[in-house]
Amino acid sequence: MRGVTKRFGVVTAVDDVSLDVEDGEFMVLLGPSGCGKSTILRLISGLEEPSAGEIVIGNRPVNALPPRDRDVAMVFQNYALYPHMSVYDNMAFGLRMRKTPRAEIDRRVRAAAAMLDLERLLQRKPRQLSGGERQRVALARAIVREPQVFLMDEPLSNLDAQLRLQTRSEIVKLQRRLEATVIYVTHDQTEAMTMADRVAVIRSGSIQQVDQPQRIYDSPSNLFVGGFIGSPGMNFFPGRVHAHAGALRAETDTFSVPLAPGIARSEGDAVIVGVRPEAVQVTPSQSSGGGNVGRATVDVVEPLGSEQLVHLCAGDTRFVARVDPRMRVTVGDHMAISVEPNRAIFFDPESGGRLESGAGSGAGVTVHV
Amino acid sequence: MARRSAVKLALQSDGAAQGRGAFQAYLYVLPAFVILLAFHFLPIFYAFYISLFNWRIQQGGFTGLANYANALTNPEFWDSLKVTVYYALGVIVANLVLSTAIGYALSQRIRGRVLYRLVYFLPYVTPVVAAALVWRWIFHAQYGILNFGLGLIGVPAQQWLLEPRGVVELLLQPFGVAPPAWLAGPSLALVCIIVFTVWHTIGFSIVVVLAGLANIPGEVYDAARIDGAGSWGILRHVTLPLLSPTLFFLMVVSTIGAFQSFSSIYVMTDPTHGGPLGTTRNATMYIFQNFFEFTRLGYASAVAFLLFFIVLGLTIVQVRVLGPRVHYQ
Repeated sequence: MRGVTKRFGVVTAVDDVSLDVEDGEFMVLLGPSGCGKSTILRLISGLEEPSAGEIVIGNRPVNALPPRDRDVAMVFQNYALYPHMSVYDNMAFGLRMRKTPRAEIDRRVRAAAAMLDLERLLQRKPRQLSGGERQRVALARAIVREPQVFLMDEPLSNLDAQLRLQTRSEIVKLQRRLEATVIYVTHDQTEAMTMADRVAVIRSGSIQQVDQPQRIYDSPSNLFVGGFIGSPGMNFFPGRVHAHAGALRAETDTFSVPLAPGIARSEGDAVIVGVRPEAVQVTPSQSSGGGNVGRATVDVVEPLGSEQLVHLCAGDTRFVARVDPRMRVTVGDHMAISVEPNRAIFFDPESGGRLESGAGSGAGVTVHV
Repeated sequence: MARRSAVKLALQSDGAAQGRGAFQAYLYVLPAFVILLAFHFLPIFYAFYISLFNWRIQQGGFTGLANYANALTNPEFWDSLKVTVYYALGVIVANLVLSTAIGYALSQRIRGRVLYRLVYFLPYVTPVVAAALVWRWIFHAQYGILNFGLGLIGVPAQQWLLEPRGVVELLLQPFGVAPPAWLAGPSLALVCIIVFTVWHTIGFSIVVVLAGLANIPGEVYDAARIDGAGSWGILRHVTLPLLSPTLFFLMVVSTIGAFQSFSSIYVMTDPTHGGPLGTTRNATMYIFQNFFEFTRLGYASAVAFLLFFIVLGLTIVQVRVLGPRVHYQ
């Protein structure tokens, strides 16, 4: 996609989006509801026309092509199965519309049915199937088409938690087996992190960051990405830059850390320090130590079995820390807070973008807002 | 403790209260029931009673099923049935096809959609008799606006509601071909009435079709477009099958309505002669004529019951034959 924009009246749903998806890649479009990710998918499929920009599938510009000629297959959130046709006919419909010979249709349908364990269900109608079975039929219908690109629009949203986990890994295995190019839309960042080769984080119609899941997690390009990725999301501490003994430090209400070397900020500048919950070190407070260490009060403790999520507050700032399950923490306790310097990420409060060390980025991470 | 026992007491069934509740329910149902009984069921039973007698103005001798036998052997009765069938076929087919086409068009996002819907539905809310009178004037052989308009483009004036000749015969006339009598088709007069009926009732059908179309999930169309179906493919494989419950309903209801049609024919033709050469005398007109004009009350009631059985039979056939082919979601 190059510079693709889509406007509905005065609303700009997709704003100058450019994205390259590699052959055989599992690309996830991740973002909150209403951010435009489904619209992007519909633009790629041809169900909507872009207001501006160009879409290319496999070296072929497809802007002028209707959906049927783009060689894409789509799996919908609500499955969109043909209610009046059997499972077999649902899968065969696309091939029949393209005048595929009957023997070939039969071969492909049965192969896809075998792949997804649907053989006993071929003569049933969609209303006789469970949610998970319907989802598999929707997948099979797409597989049978052998398209260049699979488009999936939140296919797991309507499944219960258990089924979701199961189907998630099935989809990934399927993709590897078929060596298929998949563009997958979701608002669930767990799905994005576990399934994607690369993730494109989208907000209000524009791409915030495109990178491998772990890199997005470790180096979010702006406040939105940092807060959206991770459960719970990144903690943000507003602070100021102060010079101490020749070195610049970022001081917040809770703690202070040395400013990462190379960041172009000076004395008095405002800065936001982002720290992931697992990087917040919490120890029972004895005395108020100087330097990095600050103080906070425990507000809520959420035991998860493998860890505890401790919600703390210091003045106006609220944040979350991941803590060993064996540590004794109670509401109202005063704790000492410290952060390892190299785990802190610095953001510009005005633009929201991450502050980079050095002039050029070079790490393949773009700073969008 | 006290609260729990209070709740328990309230839940126990109070026999007297239940009896009172049921009595109240019957009271609410009573008015409608009385009206139905008095104006629907009693007249029906009474009519059946009448049909068993040689009843002119006063009750005559018991004749059993003789009236029915007379009707079934009377060519006038079969003629009236033929007219009824012509009329029903014309109305039902035109109604279904046009309402589906127009409903489909109106479900698209076209400009002035709301205005179109209003215009198409408006005839349905006009009183049948008033509208029929106006159309009678439009079709008038000498002063009607239709003949006037046709005259402007050089088409010769037609007799319209007074024309007893069949439409097929009239269409082939310029070519000098004369079809055999049984192939002449419904008379032009009957076709005029069909046109009026379709104009009057299509609004209702369109609204029903629009509701049926709205019931089809939009995503199914998206899936079909991606699967490779063109507009015709989508219509044939997605829209029509998923619309079939609505169309089935319309067909059954239209059939029943068309077989019972009376007001339009009564207003637009001369009832005493059943229209031009009796070509617009359908079954209900035949019943009406026999009952009020010839005061053959027993005979007319028998014909009415025969008509009832025919409509019932048709409905059952439709449900049995077409019902299984309807795709319910």
